[in-house]
Amino acid sequence: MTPKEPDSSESIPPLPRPLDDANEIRRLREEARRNLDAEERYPAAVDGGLPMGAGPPRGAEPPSRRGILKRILIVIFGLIAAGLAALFYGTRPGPGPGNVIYGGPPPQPAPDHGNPVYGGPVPPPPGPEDERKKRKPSPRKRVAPNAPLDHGQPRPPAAVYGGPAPRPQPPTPPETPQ
Amino acid sequence: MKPLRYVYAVWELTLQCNLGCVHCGSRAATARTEELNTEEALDLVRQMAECGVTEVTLIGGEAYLRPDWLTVARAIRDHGMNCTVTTGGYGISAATAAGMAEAGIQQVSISIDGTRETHDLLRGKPGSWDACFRSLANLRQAGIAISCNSQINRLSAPDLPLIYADILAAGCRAWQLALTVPMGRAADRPEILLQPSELLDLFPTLNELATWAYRDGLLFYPGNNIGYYGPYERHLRSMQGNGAIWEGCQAGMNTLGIEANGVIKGCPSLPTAAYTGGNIRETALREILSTAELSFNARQGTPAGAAHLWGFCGTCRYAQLCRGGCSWTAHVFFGQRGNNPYCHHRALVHQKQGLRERLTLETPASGEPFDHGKFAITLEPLDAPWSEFDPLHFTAERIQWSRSAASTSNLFPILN
Repeated sequence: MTPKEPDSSESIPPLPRPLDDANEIRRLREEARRNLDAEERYPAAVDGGLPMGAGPPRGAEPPSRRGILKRILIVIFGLIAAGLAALFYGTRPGPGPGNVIYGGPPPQPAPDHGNPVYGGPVPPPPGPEDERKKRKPSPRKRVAPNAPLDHGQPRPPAAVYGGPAPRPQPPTPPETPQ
Repeated sequence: MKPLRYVYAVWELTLQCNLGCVHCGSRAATARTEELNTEEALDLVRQMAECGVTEVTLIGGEAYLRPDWLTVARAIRDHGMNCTVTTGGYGISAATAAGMAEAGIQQVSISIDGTRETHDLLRGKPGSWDACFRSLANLRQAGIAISCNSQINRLSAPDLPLIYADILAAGCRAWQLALTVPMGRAADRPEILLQPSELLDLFPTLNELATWAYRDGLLFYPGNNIGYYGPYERHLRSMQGNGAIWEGCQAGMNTLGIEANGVIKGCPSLPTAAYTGGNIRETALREILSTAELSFNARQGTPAGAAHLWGFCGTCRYAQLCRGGCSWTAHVFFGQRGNNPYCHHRALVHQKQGLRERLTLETPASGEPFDHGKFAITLEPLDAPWSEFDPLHFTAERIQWSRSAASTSNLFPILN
């Protein structure tokens, strides 16, 4: 079948139908989104559902390509700015003794507690060692074995998390509607 | 860059079907008496292309039961439109799949409504679940993108995590979900429909599944009657665009529905009687698009666009943008659009007030394709005891997160 030549009045397809008031739709859309900002929350896990380790952030839509690009650019510019700042401030003389005009005493050397050269925390001050030796070691708290899994609790299928789906059970003759 | 707005036409190519789904909205079984012939169908393809349609989805009944269906599919592609298919998937052989690929069909969505047992029951044919997955494999082998769609009702809702695992393993790229509503044969089975308060247990589950899908790269697509504006709104729709939210029914705006006899509606699901703009045999598509039946969404964003709202939806903070959610869903419950009981935000508002809504069938459906009954809505205390005569009552405890969980098969005989 040869397509009919459209005349000038038929040159504009009627679909998609234009909106009567596109601006008002835009306004309503933004208003609805504001309402949703207050209303939306991420739900507690459904009974038996696993915690979600992937997907969009809670209560937010997934980032758009533009959003991702924007974040990458922010990081790149941030790194450049940090590099420039390091170059600029790295060439300046460090604060000398004259900075006392800002107040405060000059920095004092750290107190020497006779720490080993390896550093580490300051050892506890010598205490009543005899008492500590006399004290009985506290009995180790007995850890109960893991509670048995509640098999009655429904869980999501393993297949969803990778690997082939487990095949369904062999068919049982279905009830055929009369 | 201006985003491209797709225009979809969903075309029931024939009402003939090889399944007998208990929830079929069009009561598909045999062909309509006066379905479009090949020449009329090809002319409709041309008119759709001229009117701006960018994608045509062929449905049924079962589209592939019509002998000339690949001719129509090829014509759709030749006119520069995308061609996709939604099917029950009962018996698409490797040869049929290869023919579909050759005709240019780009994507096929197969309806999977549960585990084998649930699906076969809902689809009315033993072995249909296995047939679906064989069809998916054949289509994938032929190089056609595959996806799935699922109906959510009291029988299928507990199976959702298992459906997810199965379709992911089958290589599906997308999963569209829709709530079963009382149209066609589903109107004869009110006991399998979710009650509004049961959405409170369903939506956290959907949210969890959306998170899995996001992680696994499966496009999670909540259908137009899943919503609206609850705590998971943007997360559930996150794959439809950054920060996407529900913006009201788009029937007739960028969507068309075509019945096999040439009837044109703004959306394929809308009831025939109230929303038919005309028949393509008598009127040009461009002209039908200007009728009131296809333009009722054109005033969105103006006060007139929300004038039809009533009941809870008329008082809602999201009323003007939402406009009562899915027109189809509201209409098949109450015989008019503008008050949608299938709304998560609404259920949450009632929950905060210690209330819940309950729907009861008052007037049965007539028995025609795309028919519906009429329901009454009752507001009652949230903690009121559930009727003992309602054994399919859905709660989060019934969700099968693993295959070892107890089967709900003992509940099925109620449908016999």
